[in-house]
Amino acid sequence: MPATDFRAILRILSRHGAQFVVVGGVGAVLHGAPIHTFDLDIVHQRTGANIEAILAALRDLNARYRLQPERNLHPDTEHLLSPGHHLLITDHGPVDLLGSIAPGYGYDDLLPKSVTLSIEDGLDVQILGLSAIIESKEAAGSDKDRAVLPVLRRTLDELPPK
Amino acid sequence: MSAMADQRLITSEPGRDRQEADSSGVDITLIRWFLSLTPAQRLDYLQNHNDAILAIRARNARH
Repeated sequence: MPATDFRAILRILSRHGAQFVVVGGVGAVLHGAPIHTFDLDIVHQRTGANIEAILAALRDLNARYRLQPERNLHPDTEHLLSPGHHLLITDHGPVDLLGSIAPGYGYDDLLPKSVTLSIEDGLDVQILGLSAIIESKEAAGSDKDRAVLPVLRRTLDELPPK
Repeated sequence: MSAMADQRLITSEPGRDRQEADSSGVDITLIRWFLSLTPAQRLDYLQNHNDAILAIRARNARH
């Protein structure tokens, strides 16, 4: 039976020095929103060096595209240079590798809106700020994204002031 | 625990704690509980929840 191991995915990415920002549901959970999600969404820095680091991590994760799994397709440099979304399944669960979450919202745009959270010793990750996660879901406008907005907004209200 | 609190627990009825939810039906007590966890604990809770759901689905897929 497949199992998700978000920590393992983050550890492997970190071990390879990959630069990325956690967004989406896991990001919201890390901020304290009691919502549910099955996949890890990350926005990666689209530089040559970082894409090589990401690809090395994806090889360790045995990452392949979720669509048409029978073809066992793996992302390559050209894929990850694009701003598009790469929906992957790994040995530790599903990962969505996003070149951007919207036009003009790539890694360099999101990093100033992110915070560093310590998951465990030796594992610090960049998480998109909860305000920005809310903005991204408002911009996405899908029923799925709108459904969690009340909880995210209320969680933001409950966070202690910085 | 006071007698009134005991009675509240015994006779708790649906909607009794509605004041703990805002107009969207969001359970603020759940948010505050989840915020009391560390980020690592939140991640582990989500992961354990996923594992439990998948195990239940797999178990019932065989029937």
